[in-house]
Amino acid sequence: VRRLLFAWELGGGAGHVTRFLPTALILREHGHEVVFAVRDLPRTKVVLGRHHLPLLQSPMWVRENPGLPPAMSYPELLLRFGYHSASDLAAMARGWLTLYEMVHPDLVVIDHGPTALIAAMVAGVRRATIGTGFFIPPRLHPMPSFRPWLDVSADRLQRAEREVLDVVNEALLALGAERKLTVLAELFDADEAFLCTVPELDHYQRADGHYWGPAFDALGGDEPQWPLSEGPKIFVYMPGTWAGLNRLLQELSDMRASVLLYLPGLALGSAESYAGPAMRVSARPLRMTQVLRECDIVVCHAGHGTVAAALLAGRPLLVIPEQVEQFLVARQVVKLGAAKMVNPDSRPKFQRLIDEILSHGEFAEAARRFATKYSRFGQAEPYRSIAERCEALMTPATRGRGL
Amino acid sequence: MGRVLFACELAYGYGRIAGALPVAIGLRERGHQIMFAVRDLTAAEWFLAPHGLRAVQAPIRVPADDSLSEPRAYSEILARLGYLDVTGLDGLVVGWRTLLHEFAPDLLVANHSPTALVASRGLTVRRVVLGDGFSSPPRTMPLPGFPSHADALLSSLAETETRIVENINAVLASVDAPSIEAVADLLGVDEDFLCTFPELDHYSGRSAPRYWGPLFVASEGAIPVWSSGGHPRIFAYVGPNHPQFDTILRGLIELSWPVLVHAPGVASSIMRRYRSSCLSVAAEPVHMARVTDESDVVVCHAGHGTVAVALLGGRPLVLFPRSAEQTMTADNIVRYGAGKSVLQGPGAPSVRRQVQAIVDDPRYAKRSQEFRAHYGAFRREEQIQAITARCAELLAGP
Repeated sequence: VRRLLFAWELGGGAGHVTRFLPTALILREHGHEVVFAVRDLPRTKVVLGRHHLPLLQSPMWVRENPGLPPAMSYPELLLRFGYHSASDLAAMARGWLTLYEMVHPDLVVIDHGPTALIAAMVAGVRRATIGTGFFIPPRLHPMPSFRPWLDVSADRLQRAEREVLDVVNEALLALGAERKLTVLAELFDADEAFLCTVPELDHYQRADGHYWGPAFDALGGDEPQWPLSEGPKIFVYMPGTWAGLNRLLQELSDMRASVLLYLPGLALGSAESYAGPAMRVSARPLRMTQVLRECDIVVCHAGHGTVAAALLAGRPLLVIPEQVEQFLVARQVVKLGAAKMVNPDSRPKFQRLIDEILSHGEFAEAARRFATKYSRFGQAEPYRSIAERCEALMTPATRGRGL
Repeated sequence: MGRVLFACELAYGYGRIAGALPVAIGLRERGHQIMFAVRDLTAAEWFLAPHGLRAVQAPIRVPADDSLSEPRAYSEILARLGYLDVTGLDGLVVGWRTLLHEFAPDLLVANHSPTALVASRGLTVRRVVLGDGFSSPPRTMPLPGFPSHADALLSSLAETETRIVENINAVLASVDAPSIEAVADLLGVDEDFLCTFPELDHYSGRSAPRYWGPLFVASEGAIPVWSSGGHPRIFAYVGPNHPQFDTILRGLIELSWPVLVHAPGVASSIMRRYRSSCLSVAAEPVHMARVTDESDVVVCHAGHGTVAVALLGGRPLVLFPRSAEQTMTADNIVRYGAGKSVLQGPGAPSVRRQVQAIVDDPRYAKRSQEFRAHYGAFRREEQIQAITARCAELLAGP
């Protein structure tokens, strides 16, 4: 029996957990122990549903670094999470080190976990990264802008890289590491990189990526109950806390359609107030395979997992990105021709946009082309391959790569 | 030998972790293995790492629910933690239970850690509560409102408590753990180390309490360096995120007395705004016993540990409370007469004048000296010895 620790350190939503869940279940079936260390315990508990996996809290930076401009690059993102201070970073890395000592994993699979990676380097724990393109940036120096449509100066990228690199190296020294990083992207050096996407949905353009394919949990969740009304079936997956929710629901309720909404984080009691004869609301996860098979269009904020799942099911989308990470996915899927994008800051006509997508067959057609091209993904793959590789990495034949 | 988990779920700042440190060291010296689970790992880096004590992240709710108003009772603290939502609570409890399973402690020391107490119900681990009066409210049903909110409707507190108890029981049932009837049942443990003095107790009206004396760390941290040799000298412990940080610092500088400011973790870019020949700044912990001894007055938020060190050193206090917990301690000091809360807001005299008035009035210094004399027999080493001995007894127990 081998032990695997799945580590999710930064970012929100359910995607980080659902990405690895199917693989975790395969590994457990093979007799291995899988422990999850996660940023958001309550959300994870809900997402896991009937699957009882041991959950631990990931180390977190609980202070604030106010007054920073919007992040343009990965290093600037890290400055929002304690990477401006070597002592704070060392504190979090030590939290991970203690976790590794306690759990004693044969392999750590790290999803958006820079500090988990640092600690794994220091401890010489075998490690793999997992994530969409956004969480496994290409090995460039300085690390590139993730807002390519903005003219971000080379000087700014260089400065952020230098500042964070110095802090990381000072923390490594404090933790007793023997070596320093020469460029920040070395942070992502690992025994394997499970880049869970395809080139068309990659957040970065890269030449050397090995793509494992999109990963998400489509089997968990409740069985969908569509309202029994005429018209197209519209599936909406937006955060229950999204500011534009009321307007969207208003417009949807005026449509001749059957609308099913999954609104995680929706305030208790508000689900009822939105529900109607043509509209049903769930605050709990729904079984995505079935929802997507049955719907005609997906409305979402362009989280990578939902978009990939919709495309693999051959469904077109209306995407409403909120964060840069979602915007990059939204851009890609619009480029594919399978979606329209809403600028949430404008006053969008949701109804008209949905009608356009449904009445112009080319959106669904583009989605179906994607589904055909990648028909090998979505059921057993890429999970079986990832699980197999994890098992190989967990065998004690070779030592993990230290610093 | 035994394994001991110190749970510091609600330790904002570093006071509680620093306070538990001597107990942890004492238990380690007896051969036990120690682990901390803390809310703020940065504080662990300051106080635990230098002693080779290890810490993991305590389960924490992200993002915090800021929609609720300031708590008026212990149960409302639980509400802010997410206890009004059964899925939120469930996630935190699962996190604690995995930690309890992985580290497998023989003794859980709950230092203001309600969810660790929920999660450990029904397990074989022995459990104690360690902390000031605030973290160990009198076991009534419902739990009392904070004295500063005596006007809080008991019925509304009872209603909140009922909902919380329902949610706790739902989660406990899912893991086959024994249910509770009231939140007070959570605090029914093998020992209640009520670490304060009656004068500093956040609550009054306990039935037959045993006071173990306040916890604090007096001898960790840097030796103070004053800007000049004159008197009176002010030691100010002010968090950089205190809403009045700027007003307080500018007021102290105006006095032109030597002032040593301990602003934990403050960025040097911020401190550059306060260049003054009378001011020195420490961003990292300072040697509290020494700095108190060398100062004439202590300015602080009314954190329980800082206040205890100041009074045991016979120093009067100028208080800027910012939480309910600190307001309760500040009220205790004012009642005792060893210090004053600074009035804030429009119409209030300047900070400079208010501090000057406290320093100039000999009654405050006299009362703090009386406190010092009253507890002259209190020995921290004996207190730590007594606590660790009792823990060791529980660890050895049947």
